[in-house]
Amino acid sequence: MYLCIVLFPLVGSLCTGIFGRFLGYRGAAVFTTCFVFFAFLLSCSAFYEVALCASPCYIKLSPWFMSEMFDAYWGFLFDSLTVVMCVVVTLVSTLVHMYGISYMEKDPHIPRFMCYLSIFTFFMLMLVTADNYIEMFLGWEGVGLASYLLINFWYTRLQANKAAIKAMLINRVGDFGLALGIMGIYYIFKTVDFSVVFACAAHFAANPAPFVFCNIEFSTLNTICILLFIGAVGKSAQLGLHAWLPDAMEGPTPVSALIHAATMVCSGVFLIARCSPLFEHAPTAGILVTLVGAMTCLFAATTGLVQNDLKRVIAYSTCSQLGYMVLACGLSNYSVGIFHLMNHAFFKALLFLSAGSVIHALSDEQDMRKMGGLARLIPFTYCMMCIGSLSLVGFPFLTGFYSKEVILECAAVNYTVSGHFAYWCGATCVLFTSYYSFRCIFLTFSCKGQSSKQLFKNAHEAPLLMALPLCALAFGSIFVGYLSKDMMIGCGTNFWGNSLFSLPQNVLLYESEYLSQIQKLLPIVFTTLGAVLAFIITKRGTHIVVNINDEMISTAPPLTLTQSMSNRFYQVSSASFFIRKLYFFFNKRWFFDKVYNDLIAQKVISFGYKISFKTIDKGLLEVLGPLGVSNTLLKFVQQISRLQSGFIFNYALMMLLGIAILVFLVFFFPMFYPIIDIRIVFILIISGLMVSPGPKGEVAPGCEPSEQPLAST
Amino acid sequence: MVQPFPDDFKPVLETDFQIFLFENHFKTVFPEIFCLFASVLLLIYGVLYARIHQANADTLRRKMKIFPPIMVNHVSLLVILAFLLTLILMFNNPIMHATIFYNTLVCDDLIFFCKILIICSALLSVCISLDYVRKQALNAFEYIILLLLATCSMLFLISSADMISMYLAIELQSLCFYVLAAFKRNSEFSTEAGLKYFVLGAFSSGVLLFGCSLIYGFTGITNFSELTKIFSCTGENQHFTGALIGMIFVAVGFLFKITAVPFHTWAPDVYEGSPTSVTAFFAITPKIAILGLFVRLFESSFYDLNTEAAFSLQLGTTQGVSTTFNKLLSMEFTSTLPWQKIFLFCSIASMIVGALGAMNQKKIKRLLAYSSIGHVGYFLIGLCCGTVEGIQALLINLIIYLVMTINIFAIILSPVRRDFVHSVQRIKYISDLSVLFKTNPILAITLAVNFFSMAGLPPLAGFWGKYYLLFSAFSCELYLVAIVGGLATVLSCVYYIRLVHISYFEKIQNRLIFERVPKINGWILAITFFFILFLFVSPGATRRSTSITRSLLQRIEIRDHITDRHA
Amino acid sequence: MTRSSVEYLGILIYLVFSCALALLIIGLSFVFSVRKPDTEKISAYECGFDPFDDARSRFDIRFYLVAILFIIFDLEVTFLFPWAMILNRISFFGFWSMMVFLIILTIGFLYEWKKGALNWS
Repeated sequence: MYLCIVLFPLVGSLCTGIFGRFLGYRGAAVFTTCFVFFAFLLSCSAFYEVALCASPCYIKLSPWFMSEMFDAYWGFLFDSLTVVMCVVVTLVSTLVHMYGISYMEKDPHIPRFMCYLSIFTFFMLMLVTADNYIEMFLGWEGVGLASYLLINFWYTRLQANKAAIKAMLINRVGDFGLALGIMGIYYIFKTVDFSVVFACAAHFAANPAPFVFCNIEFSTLNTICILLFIGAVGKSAQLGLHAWLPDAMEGPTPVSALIHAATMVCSGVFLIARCSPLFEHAPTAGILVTLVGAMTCLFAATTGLVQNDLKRVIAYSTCSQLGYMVLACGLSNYSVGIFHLMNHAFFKALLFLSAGSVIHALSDEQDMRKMGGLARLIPFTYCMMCIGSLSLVGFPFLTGFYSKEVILECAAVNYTVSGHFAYWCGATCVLFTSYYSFRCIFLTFSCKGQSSKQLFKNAHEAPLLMALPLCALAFGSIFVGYLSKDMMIGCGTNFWGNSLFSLPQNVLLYESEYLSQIQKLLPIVFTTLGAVLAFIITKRGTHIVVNINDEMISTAPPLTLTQSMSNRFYQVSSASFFIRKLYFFFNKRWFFDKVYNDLIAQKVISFGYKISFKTIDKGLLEVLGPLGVSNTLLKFVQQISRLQSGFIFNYALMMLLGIAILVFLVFFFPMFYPIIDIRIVFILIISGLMVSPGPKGEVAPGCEPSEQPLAST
Repeated sequence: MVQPFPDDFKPVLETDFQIFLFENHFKTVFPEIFCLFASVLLLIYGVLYARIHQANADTLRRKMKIFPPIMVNHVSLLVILAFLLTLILMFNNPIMHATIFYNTLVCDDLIFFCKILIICSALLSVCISLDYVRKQALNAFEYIILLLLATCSMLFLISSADMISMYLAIELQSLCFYVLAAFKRNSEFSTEAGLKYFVLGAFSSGVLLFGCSLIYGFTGITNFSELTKIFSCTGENQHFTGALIGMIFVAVGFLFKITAVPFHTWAPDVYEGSPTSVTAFFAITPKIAILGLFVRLFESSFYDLNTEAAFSLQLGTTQGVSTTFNKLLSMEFTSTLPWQKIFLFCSIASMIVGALGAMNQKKIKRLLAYSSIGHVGYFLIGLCCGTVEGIQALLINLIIYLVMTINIFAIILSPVRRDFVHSVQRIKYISDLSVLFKTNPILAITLAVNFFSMAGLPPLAGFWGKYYLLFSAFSCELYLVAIVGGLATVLSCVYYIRLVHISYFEKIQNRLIFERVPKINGWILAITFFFILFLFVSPGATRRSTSITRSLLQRIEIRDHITDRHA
Repeated sequence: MTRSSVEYLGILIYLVFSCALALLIIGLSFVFSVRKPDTEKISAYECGFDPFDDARSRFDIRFYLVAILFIIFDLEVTFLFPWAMILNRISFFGFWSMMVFLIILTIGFLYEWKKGALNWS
């Protein structure tokens, strides 16, 4: 049963990939959705067994690499962390499959789409159920691959190509860090198996065998954890390697929902949580993780403030929430991080899918400034989006509230500098989150309609297959937080078993009871403040479209206070130099992309072309290699042919020389051998052969023996 | 008149002579004696009944237009019969191991094997050249008698156990070859080839004899097994400088005959000038004979001739040999066995020259000459090793080389016809092979497979030969030769594959039309082709390991028993 | 000098002596002779006449053949001499060994006879 969880999506993907043509679009869709749904049911059952009944499951299938000291098995590890992730992944995947059936129903490439979605699910499940680092790396790379394929689904679109390559390359940098981390783990622990590594982690905490590099001693666990974290940075779009996430919105919306909201981007957080024993013993890495997470959170939120694309806003919101999760993990509260991950999966998927519904309704219009007034046209979607947004901003007693509040409390209560920094970043982020979420809703639904009449005429509500997943996710967004709060992050819960490890000195759960009231209430205040600001700034005069018939009756009431305030705000901000610059800065993602492009990408590409390719590959190596050798050999061969002169006395001379050389070799060479260095002779010979490229000589006519009779003998 | 003996002078040994001699010795060499008798009888037969010089003959016969028979083909077939009978006699010889004729000749398994190879190669060379001889009007039956005589001398050469018998045999063989090389009387090329071969061959025979005399002078011994004993029992303060020089000269004399570098210079000219059937014989048989002799000379007799004993310079461990590079090559440069140094040098040089020299050639026989020089380089690797593995590799390579060369010469000896240039009715240039694919596809595929095998491509036969050789070189730590061998193989691939390319892809150049291959050529082509193609099924079958290694081990045991050392 | 090379001492002395003598003879005439070249003095000698033709003409190969045949049979005779001396001591075995040698040479003789090498025309 456990293996079926992992393998069903693979089977579905393979069948659809190979036989998609025969199954047809409906068959492919149903096929894959059914398989993933069964996987979901099985993972629910696994959740019951493993998490609720506290019986983790370890499966070792067969050996994979068996090479002296290095061995890796095909193995699966089902403990609480894994099954939570499995449930989340399979549930969201099923819902996205279902959603995708009707979202992509006009697309002729549905089998390919379903195949890619399923293969992504398979790799993600592989990642979370992995038994050792190598298998996890397989899953890691696999989800990167699937992400590339899915972003690039409409591969004839240039923007999609660029975005997919960007995602792949940036992920690669992260993968490189992860690979180095795994190699470091193998180097230190001599194994890549999770159980062995985690068991031995404590032993290495005291740093018995540091890495020595350039005469500096580096603590092993810190180095390894930082390298693993680089992998997480790449995958989870933390600051530094985040640039791919907004551009990845070029893919279809279900893809964004599945990959870039709920699952793939969480694999980084999953990695940190899985390696919690390692991270616990590496305090420096923990500080780094917290700082990066906090900065990501803040950065993404500020950038999301001024985006105009609906999906981009939600993408930045994802990025920011990932920052939350990472900072929670950095502060040794892995359970809180995973809890937030689960909750985030629900409401973010809900947000993405309803955004997709909006886009579908408006015939692929994505710019928020062109939307507006959709509240009465697509009320169901409006409702879902509201639920999702409220959950995201941490409206009390919805899912988001429980996890976000706990994270902020944990950050506040941590005595370290990084903890305090994280708290202030997180709190500021709450303000921004709330601002852009509500701005999003207001601009899309409540504001005056900004588009053409044609667009609004065709606006239709989501069909059934799109609405069902929204419903399910809405229920999740509302209830899951409350229902599982105590189980996952309650006091003294043994839900997690052995999967998440925290050093006792880092468990500060109880301290959060002693926070000052202001620190506890600040998030709520910021949320409200953000909503109010959004309302004020975006409501530049609302028009509510009443009728969807031919004539639109729009009311034009006189400007209210809010409207006049927002008009005033716009006047001031467009006049002020500073605010304009700030807007620009935020809109251009803090110029990260520009820096990456100009300072790194351009330089590397020009190096690759001018130096590596032209000078070295086509120049030096060609001369030393094929071109040089062949030219030199041709000339050399012609010289040798001239030795065969045809005169007997030359031949006799060569024989005598041969005798002389042999006598020398036998008798006198041992005297010279210790004196000269043989390597020099070889270098001379080989360089003489290589480095004399002449013009390409034609093969001279072979030296024939003289036609006339011998003259001299 | 024979007088009765005086009483005081009792010839005790005489009766012993006769008893010894006539009991077993003649029986042992019975195949060779048959070979000799056959050659003599066929000579008389031929000279009595064959006449080509009619210019001095009776005018009556000329008027009556009765031309005396040209008996080349006739005598050739009889010679083939003689070879077959010799082969049968050899196989049925009751005496397999003997030292006969007062330690001048010896028979054992290795020698038996080499003799079989020699006779087979001579037989095959004659078979494939029957048609060529007829077409080229080599109308003298002496051609084939000389071939038979040369083979006979090689049989004696391989079984010689004394320097004198060795020299006699090699001279007989060389003289026959000189005449054979110059056999086409109306071709300047051929005459020149013969003359060059003669002069240089006489030079090398002189060097050989000088070496033998030096060895005799410094050790007082000409018998090979006695030499073994002498050189094995050297102490630390024995100097064998003179004998060492003698050994070098003996090696040089023989290396000339097998066209090793730097004594190879006669080979391209002679191979090209001689009639092609003679080249076929040249390319294979003497190499087998002399390499077999080398095994007995240098792996047995001179094996323990150390320069460390001959030189008072104590080397100890070579200084500064700590790096891998030096360790890799130290064996070549610091080996204390001088014969190993000689053969290493010649082997490396042969492989390089064989690989490089052929690239610039436009004529096919010169190219084959260089390719055989390269092959000799490989054979000498096997010889250098000094282990039983190396000798096995050498023998396997000899068999495979025999098969490949017979194949290629069978193709080159095929009858051809040129439309416009009537004087050159044979394959001369490389470009003559062009468009073979269209005119005779089976011949083309045979050629292609053969050349690929010579180039050393797996899974063909040539690859297995090189495989065994290089592995045995590695096991003796002779890394430099193995590396050079590998590189030379790569270089030689160029011209082999160029020939295949020409035969498959070139445009029509000379309008050389390949006529129907004669039947016996066809049979031989087929058998060798299949051997080359399917050797990979069981390459170990070519290792007649049991009998030959037994004899080799016997020899080594004798040697070690004397010196109380391990092999 | 090692013990074995002492035997070659005689040869070395002989070599040195002969070289010295030859050099002496030539060298003395080279150093002390009067050289006044004259066209008549340098020209080739042909019994008082002016030379008709270049001395290096092609000669018939029959002369060479005769010389070779002479050498062969002369060596045969040379081997016959000592054999004849000790024939009594090496009785039948020695006799028949020599006969084998003679038979081989006779075959060669038969061959050249039939080939017409003995005809001078």
